[in-house]
Formats: sequence, C-alpha cells, structure tokens
Amino acid sequence: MSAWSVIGLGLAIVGALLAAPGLILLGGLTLLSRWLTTLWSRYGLRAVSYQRRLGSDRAVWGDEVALDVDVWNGKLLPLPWLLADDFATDGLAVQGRRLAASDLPGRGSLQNSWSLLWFERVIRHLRIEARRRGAFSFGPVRLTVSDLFERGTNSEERDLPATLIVRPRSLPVRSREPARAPLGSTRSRSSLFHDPALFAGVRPYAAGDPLRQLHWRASARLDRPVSKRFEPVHERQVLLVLDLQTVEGPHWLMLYDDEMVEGLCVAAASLARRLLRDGAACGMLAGAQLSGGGQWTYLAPETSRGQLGRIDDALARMRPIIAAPFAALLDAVPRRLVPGGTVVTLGVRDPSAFAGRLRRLQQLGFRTEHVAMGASAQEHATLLQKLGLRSRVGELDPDWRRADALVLAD
Amino acid sequence: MRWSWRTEGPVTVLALVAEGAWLAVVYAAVQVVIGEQAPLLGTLELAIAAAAAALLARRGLLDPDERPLTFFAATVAAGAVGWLVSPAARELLAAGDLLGAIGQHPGGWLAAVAFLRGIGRGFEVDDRAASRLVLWGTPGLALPWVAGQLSAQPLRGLFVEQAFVASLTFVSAGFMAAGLARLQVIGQETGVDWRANRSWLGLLIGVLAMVLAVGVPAAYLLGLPIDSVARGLLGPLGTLLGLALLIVLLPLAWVAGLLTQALLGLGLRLPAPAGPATPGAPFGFPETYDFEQVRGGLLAVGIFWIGVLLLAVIVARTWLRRRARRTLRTASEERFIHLPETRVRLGMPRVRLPRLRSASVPHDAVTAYLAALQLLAPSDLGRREAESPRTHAQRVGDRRFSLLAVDYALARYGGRALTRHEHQRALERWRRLRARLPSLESRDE
Repeated sequence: MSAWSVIGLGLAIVGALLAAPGLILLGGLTLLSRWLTTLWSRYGLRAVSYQRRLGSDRAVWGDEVALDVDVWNGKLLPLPWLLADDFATDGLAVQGRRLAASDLPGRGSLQNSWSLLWFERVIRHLRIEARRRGAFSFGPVRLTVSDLFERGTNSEERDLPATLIVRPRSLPVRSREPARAPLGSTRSRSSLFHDPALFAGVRPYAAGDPLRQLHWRASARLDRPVSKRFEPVHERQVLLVLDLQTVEGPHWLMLYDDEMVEGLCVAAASLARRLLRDGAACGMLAGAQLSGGGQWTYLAPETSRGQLGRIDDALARMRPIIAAPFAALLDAVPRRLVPGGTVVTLGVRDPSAFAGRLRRLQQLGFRTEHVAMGASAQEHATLLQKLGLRSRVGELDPDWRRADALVLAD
Repeated sequence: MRWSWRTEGPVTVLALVAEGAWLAVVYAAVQVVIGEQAPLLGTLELAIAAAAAALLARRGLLDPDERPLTFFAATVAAGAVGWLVSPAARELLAAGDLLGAIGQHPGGWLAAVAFLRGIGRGFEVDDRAASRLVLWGTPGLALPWVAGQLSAQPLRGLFVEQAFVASLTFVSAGFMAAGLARLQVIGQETGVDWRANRSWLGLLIGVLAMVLAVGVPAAYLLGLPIDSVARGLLGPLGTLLGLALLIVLLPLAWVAGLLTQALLGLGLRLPAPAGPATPGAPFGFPETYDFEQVRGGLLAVGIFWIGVLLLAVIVARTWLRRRARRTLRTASEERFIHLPETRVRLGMPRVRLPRLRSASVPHDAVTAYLAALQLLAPSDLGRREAESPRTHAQRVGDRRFSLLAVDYALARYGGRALTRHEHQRALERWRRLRARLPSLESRDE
C-alpha cells in the first residue's frame, strides 16, 4: 500500500471516528486520486494486441515492401498514450520515418505512438524502402503506456520475430565480344554419356531409342511411347568464389569499401542468374560472415529452380566482415567441386596473392576464370592473363545502383 | 517554447480554477473560524485574482525578479481588494478605523495568496506541478475542513456547503488540468496535438465519474442537496464553457460593431416614425412605422443575412474540402472500433446428469480383453493410441493380461474360433486381473 493510500485511508477513518463527513470525503478523494493516477500503469497493457505484418519477407534492392502495424485496445479503459518501440536492424528505411536510437546494440527502434479509445483498433500502413541489401530482423516489441495524471509508465516486451531479406540487384550479363560465352566455354546442348542413376524425367520416344530406355509405365499411362531421360555424366558445374575483402591487408582488419562490396554482390547475383539460366549448375562459396549466424557460405552447385533464390538470399545475408582469407577458400574448392568444374572467382583486390592457388586448381583439372572488378580491374586482369590464367573485367557502369548490365570484357 | 492560447489556455484556466477552489476552502475556514462571518468570496473571485496575476506576468508587466517592489505592491493591492469586498470593512476604513476594518474581513487577504499563486500559472503549466497540486492539495484540505467544522452553527453549515462545492471543484479542475497538461507533454514528445487526441474526452468523463462517485454519498453524509455536487462539477466545466462562449462571442460582437458603424456611416438609419408612440403597445414600442417606411430597411437586412448565409456556406464548404483533403493525406491509418467477439447462446441450459455406467461384464475372451483394457484405462497402464495389443501387454508386464491379448489377437485378427474352455480361462484371467489391479498400478508408479 502506497503512502498516499495510507493517508487517504487514515483521513477516512479519522473522519468516521470524529463523525466528520468532510474528512471522509477528503479521504475518499485522496484514495481515488491515487487510484486514478496509477490506473494506466497498472491496467493499461492488458488486452492490448500489437501485430506487425510484412507484405513480403523477400525484396530486391529498390523495392518497396508494405508494413502494416496493427494495434488494438481490447478493453474499456482508453489509452491516452501507447508507445510501441519495434526494434529492427539498423539501416532499415521506412518511408517518412527514422529509426530512433535504441538500447539494443545494432538495432534501431521504429517508434509508433497512438491514443486509443475503448476497443479501438488502428492499422497504420507504412512502407519499407529496400535501400540496402541485407537481412533485416524485427523484434522484440516494447509496448509502453503512460499514466494520464502522472509521469508513471509501464512497459512490456513481446517477441514478434520477423525477417525481411533484401536481395541485391541482379542485372543482365553482357559480353563485349558477343561470340564469346559469358563465362568459360559454351555449353554443349547434348551429352554423349548419361548417368543412368540420375533419372531426369521422360521425353517422347524417338526412333532408335533402345528398348530398355522406354519407360513402360509412363508409356502405358500416357498411351504413347516415352523414353527415360538421364542427367549427363558430368553436368556443367560452376562455383562462384566470392572475395568480399575490398581493402588490401590482413583479412581480419574489418576495413571495407561499402560501394565495392555492394558492387561485388550485384555482380555475383547477376552471374549466378545468367549461369543458371544457361543451364549450368551454379554454386557459391564465400568467406564472409552472415547476418543471423554463420562464418562462411557454401552452396553446392545445383540447377534446381530454387538455387537462384538461395544464392540471392545468401548474398543478402552477407556482411562485409571477412571470416576466412580468400586463399583458404580456394584451398577448399577441390573438396567441394567435381573435377572438370569451373571456378569463377570474383574480387576487387590484387590477384597476385592467390594466383598460385588458381594455377594449382587448374593443374587439378578445374577450369578457372577470374572476374576482376573495381578501379584496377583491367590491371588485375592483365596480370593474371600474363600468368596464363583466364581473367576478365567486370564493369558496372556508372555504378551498381544505376548500371543496366554487368559487362564482361577481356 | 511559445505559449499558445489554443493549446495551453484551457490548461491554464483549469489550473487557475483549481488554485481558486483550494484557496476558497481555506478562505471559508478562516472566515467562519477567525472572522466569525459568512464567506463573501468564492472560487470564482479567488481564481480571478490568480488569473489577473497570471495575465500580468504573461504580459511582462509583473516580474518578481526584475521589479520586486512593483510585485510586492501589486500583491498587497490584490489582498486589499479582497479585503475591501466586505462592505463593513469599507465602512470602517472610510470612518478611519483601520484596525477594526482589517478585523472585519481577514479572509479577504487570501486574495493576495491567490495573486501569488497565479504568477506561476502565467507561463507554461508543468504537468508534474499540476499533478502535485491535486495530489498534495486533496489531503491538504483536511486542515481547513477540520477547522471549519469546529465553528458553531449556522456558520458551520455555510462553511460545509462552500467547502464541499469548492473541494469538488478543486479535484475535478485539478485533475483535468493535470490530465490536459500531461496530454500536452505527450503531444510534444510524439508530435500529436492533444486537441486531436480524443482521450481528453475520456479524461473528462473519468474525472466526472470519479467526482460523482465520491461526491454524491458525501453530499448525503453532509446533509447537503445533490445540486451542490453539480455545482462542484460545473465549476470548471462552466468556466470552460464560458471561455468557449467568450471566444465565439467576442469576435462576433466586434464584427457586429464594425457593421453597425459602417451602416451608420452609409446613412442607413430608420426614418422618422409615421405616428406617435402607442400607449400600451406590445413590447412597449415607443413609435409606430408604416410598412412602406421600413420596407427598404427590411430588404437591406434580408439581403445582409442572405449574404451572411452564403458566406457561411462557402466557408463551411471550404473547410469541409480541406478536411477531406487532410483525411486523404492521412489515409495511411485506419481507425475503427472493434468489439471483441462474444458468443451469446440462447436456449435452455442443459442439465447434464452423470452417466450411470454399468461396469461391462465380459462374456468371452474378446470382451474380457476389452474389459481389462477398460480397467487399465484410467491408470498409466492404459493402452496408447499407437500401441499394438502385444507391445501394450509387454509394457503392462502381467502374464494373464498377455494371454488375454493373445486370445484377442487370435480371435479378432487371426480369425481363429476359440474353444469354450479358452473363453472360460480368459474370463478367469480378467477376474484375477481385476483383483490384482491395485498392485499393478502401484508397481507402475
């Protein structure tokens, strides 16, 4: 019982003992005053619902994503002031809003305040501008109500986890020399040998197909002869190895050029899309930390429909914090790629530090190709070419934001 | 921050009314106990004294720090005005009896205290100060109440009535001032104007309900009429309404005055009357006019009012359009009242009697097994959904039950017809199992 309540009760009791109704009145008023001043901090957060609805959990850089904030005061007591601190990863851009500083490291607060009547529901429509690549996580939400007659407040935190992944741009890939394939050799449309263990579906029967290749059940079901189709013994596998270190020096320095990091991500996404569209099995290897956990990324080469999404998601989650040196990544390639596969390295740094590793990969039977980017791209490409290694220059003109294509040149 | 009449005016007025009401209780106690007179001043007069100080301080005419002597003189003057409200004090002063005059209306000097308190209200009303006023002020009224009730009748009755009304006014005005000041602070923090914040309606209703909840029984206990509660409540509300009327009527009066001047300047005035004043005419019109004489004037007045009406329509339409545009601009927010779903079921309540379930009595091996299952069901040894009879029997770990399960499996799944002896043995096993059930359960625990 608070001091005010004691005073109020005391006045009422004294009033009753002295038969002084005036004191009873004052005691009652004091008790009620105290009750009224702390009413909201005691009961304000009861039956208050807060929901956050994202229009989509994936977006591409430049998109706008709808964000609905839905709050409902499900009780008779009106709320003069309800504040919601919706914590989100710093850098999230909400139209017409700025994230307020918060006490959680690396997170800002999307603040919304309302005044709600009894059983009033308010849905606020906001728009998130995907201005930065990344994985933006939401939650927890801190709801605060304030008393009307005092400065007392009451807060509670609710877990409302959600994530918005902003993927990098992916652009068409063009070659300065149209006759040349974007990367490596042109793909052969047919394969001489098939792997009978890799069933890849059926196709209409063609004259000359061996009888054992007929799919009898499917033929019976379709009422026309169909033959089994198999994957080639060696499909074209390409592994994109991304060097996200943009500043020369030890990898642990955590210095980076933001523009170049973004440019590399855009280039990687563009190359992956092109390779997958051309039918190659594309994978990715990178030694950068991922938001949400993970020190490096490895996606095995695949041709499946979801592979591009996985690569884009991984690129979205990548942070410019290098967890493993690039040379170590190249050393790990033979364990992760079938011999004969293509290793496409992508970076802005001087390649002389890892040229030896590329040569070794070549000797192990891998095709290697380096895509040099950044201001010294031409110089770096020439250096590797002189060493007998395939290298090309990747350009995003004028920058990764406004470029209409990733141009590859010798 | 710039003081705005529209946002801070009501808060200031309510705070001044609360100050006046609190001092009115003290004044009533001083009057009936020390002066042994009926109270002459009330909440309104003391609030006016505080408001005068607030206004002078607001205008910069009164500054206790810069011009202390002026301030002191003004305070004494305010006290003197309060004192001289009493006709007896004025008479004695006119007669040159200063000491006697002072003793005539001692409570009047509390106007000086009201004046002092008003100085602080001339500037922005701090929500914490407003809360403190009402929180400390309410129990603080105990002293004047005790003192006032010690007085003899009929002064005691007068005191109780005035103090009761003033106390209710103090609490209601004080809470409203504190609430509105808090809403103002919230508005400054969140960028929301409290006038657009409908919770002030809730505040008003809440305060009224609270004062009613205490006031009505208290009025009954004090033997006062219920209308005294209404007077206590309407103290601040009446002030606010009067203020609102003043805001509306003052510009209208000013416009009307300007129009009159303009019309008189144009020479539009009624001609001399056609006939003399008619004695006993309705409404006491002193002169009579022919219709022909006033036709022009009436036409002008009609045209004037049509013009006013058109102007009002144009202003209203413009205002509505602007409001609609503003609503469109803020269409990013949907507000609606959403009542929780409650299901009301109409119909006669169903009385559920406990089912009298006779214990199933098995008559063959299959029913013996099922009866055994029924026996085990309430305990942890009951058969689980994903359990086969065999695994269940293994878990139970009783040989008799295992044999029952085997009989059941043979009869139901194996399609084997069991012999009469086998059925009898199964029934015997069920009986023994039933007798041993407590020991099985205790072993399971």
